[in-house]
Amino acid sequence: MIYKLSEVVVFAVMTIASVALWFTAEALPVSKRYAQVDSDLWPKLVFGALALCCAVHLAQKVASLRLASSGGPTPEKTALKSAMPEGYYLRLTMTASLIIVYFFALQYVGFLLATLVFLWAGAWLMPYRNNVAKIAFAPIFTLFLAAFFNYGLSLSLPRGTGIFYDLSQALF
Amino acid sequence: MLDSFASAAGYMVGNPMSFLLIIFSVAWGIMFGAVPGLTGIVGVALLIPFTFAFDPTEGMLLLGGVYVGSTFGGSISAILFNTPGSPEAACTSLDGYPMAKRGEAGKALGYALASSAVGGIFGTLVLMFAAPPLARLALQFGPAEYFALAILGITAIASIGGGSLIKGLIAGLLGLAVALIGLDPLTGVARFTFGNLMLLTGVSFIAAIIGIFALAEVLQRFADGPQESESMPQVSTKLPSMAEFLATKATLIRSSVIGTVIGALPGVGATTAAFISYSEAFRWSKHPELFGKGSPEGIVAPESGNNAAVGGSMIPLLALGIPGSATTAVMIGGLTIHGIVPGPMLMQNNSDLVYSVFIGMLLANVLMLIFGLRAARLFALVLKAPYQLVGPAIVVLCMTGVFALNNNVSDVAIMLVFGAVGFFLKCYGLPVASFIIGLVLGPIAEVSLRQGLILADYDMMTMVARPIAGTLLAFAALSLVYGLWGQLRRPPSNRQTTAEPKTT
Repeated sequence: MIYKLSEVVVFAVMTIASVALWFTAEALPVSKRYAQVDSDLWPKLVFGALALCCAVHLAQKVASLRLASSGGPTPEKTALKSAMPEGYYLRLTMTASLIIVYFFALQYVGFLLATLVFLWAGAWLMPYRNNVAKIAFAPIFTLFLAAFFNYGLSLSLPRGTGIFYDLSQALF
Repeated sequence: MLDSFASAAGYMVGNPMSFLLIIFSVAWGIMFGAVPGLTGIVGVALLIPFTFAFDPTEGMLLLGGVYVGSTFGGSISAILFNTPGSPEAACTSLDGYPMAKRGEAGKALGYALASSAVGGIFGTLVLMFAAPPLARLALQFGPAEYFALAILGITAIASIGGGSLIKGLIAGLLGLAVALIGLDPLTGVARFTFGNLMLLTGVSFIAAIIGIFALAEVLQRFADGPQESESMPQVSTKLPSMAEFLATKATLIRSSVIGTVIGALPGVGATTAAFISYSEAFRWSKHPELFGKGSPEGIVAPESGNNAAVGGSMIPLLALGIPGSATTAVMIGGLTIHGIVPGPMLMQNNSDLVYSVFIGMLLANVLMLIFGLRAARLFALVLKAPYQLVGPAIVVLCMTGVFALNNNVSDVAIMLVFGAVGFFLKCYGLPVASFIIGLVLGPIAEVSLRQGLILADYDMMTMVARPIAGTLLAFAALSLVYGLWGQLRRPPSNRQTTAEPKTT
């Protein structure tokens, strides 16, 4: 039921956004030279069609929601999909947060340290018995990747800022 | 022509260095293609300075081998990790990864390798025997024809929805919408950047597809949590049998032809060839419902198409001096270093060079088959590693590769955003294939439409009445109607897709 509600909300937002972006295209600067094939031609076609399709799909979802809330039969597929693994949203949030933190850490802390910590943290997100592999994999993979990109391909990696920058300069 | 072949063959036999260079370049190309973010273009660009030390023929063999190897290399990470190593391998992920997930990684890699070799050899043979007439045909393609070609590919988005027409359309239109971000190619007006200077150049395609495929998959796998059984799924490294491979011969031939013709069109390239090959394979398949779930045709089509486009893209380069793709544009640098000007006179003034390149590319495709046969089994064993280690490693590799592309952190940010987009698409059952097709073909369709209308004095009928454009549009319309009619005829229960999201 929550999923069906979320579908309705998402496609309603998409319909409204498509219409808003259509008007954004309408407000684009006009070119006298290309008046008939101006910058807004293709965006209007795309967002117009998108708004229409989202509106149709929204109507289908609202109809489906009304049927479900009036106690209509739930297709077996939908019932099976309703059974989500326990802790799904928690793991999703933790994984996404870890990736975002790693993205910022790459810029401020540098590649070596950020990758090492990220790989260790990532290995502990899901249960896995082999602790030796979890501990050993991170430094080996990090060093291999650093060597490959820096010395093999001569492509630079993020070095961080401040003392982290000095540290990475000293290391590679 | 026979004299030129004999002379070139004599040169190759008498110069063992040329074989060594081809072997090295194919391996180098496979490696660059397999690492996400590092495409064949980077592999070619890094070797251009080294070509100065060799003679022109050896230099071109070196660069050509990288192009051949990298086009296949992208499919390795696409199949094993759902991470296309290069843009032309994006379609291969759609069926290659599901096949690998059910324990047939070796078979998926085998299909990719064999069809890459067949497509590559076909494209090279066409290059050898039909370069001048195909180049003349390519010159007949103007904006109207490019628009019709883009529409042909885009009409597939309505069908590739796993049964849901409206979802396919929504996903495809979202892709078209994302492709609008950046500067208008005709007027230079900034569109949908909302003041962000980093978006003026548009969305980096490589960052977007790596995010949509790889990051979204990692998020999904980690959110799903540990599987019921701790043991890894059986990973088979068995290659497909000859009978299994020959069962896809219709798709193989069609995609090779499509890839070669599209590759011969200046400025289009292997990525577009792969997508149009995939969409046509879907359209003509007897079992379209299997696409996206590990269908062999879904691997054979893009792989043969993109490798055939390698030979095809050399046609305008060697016959007209116009690069057929971004990689061949970089290869012009390799010719310039030696003072050779590609163009119509190249075949007359440097026939040894040209025919040596033809023979070298044939050899490169055969060598790719030999290397890949051994390597496919080894690569597939990576799947036996626990995902708790592999998943974070994929994230690191993707971020590093995307960053190294332009030394720009904003590309990594785009990758993260598209990771969320990919997850959203999966959550709500919107087909990723349709989104990617819209993203790839949208710019071509828009620019061609507007240029075509300008040339036709804003008369749409004049534009579509051109023979080639009209034929392609008519074909697109017929196949769209046929596909829609087929969908509507199917009972409602068969229209539902198993690509529906697992979440509630």
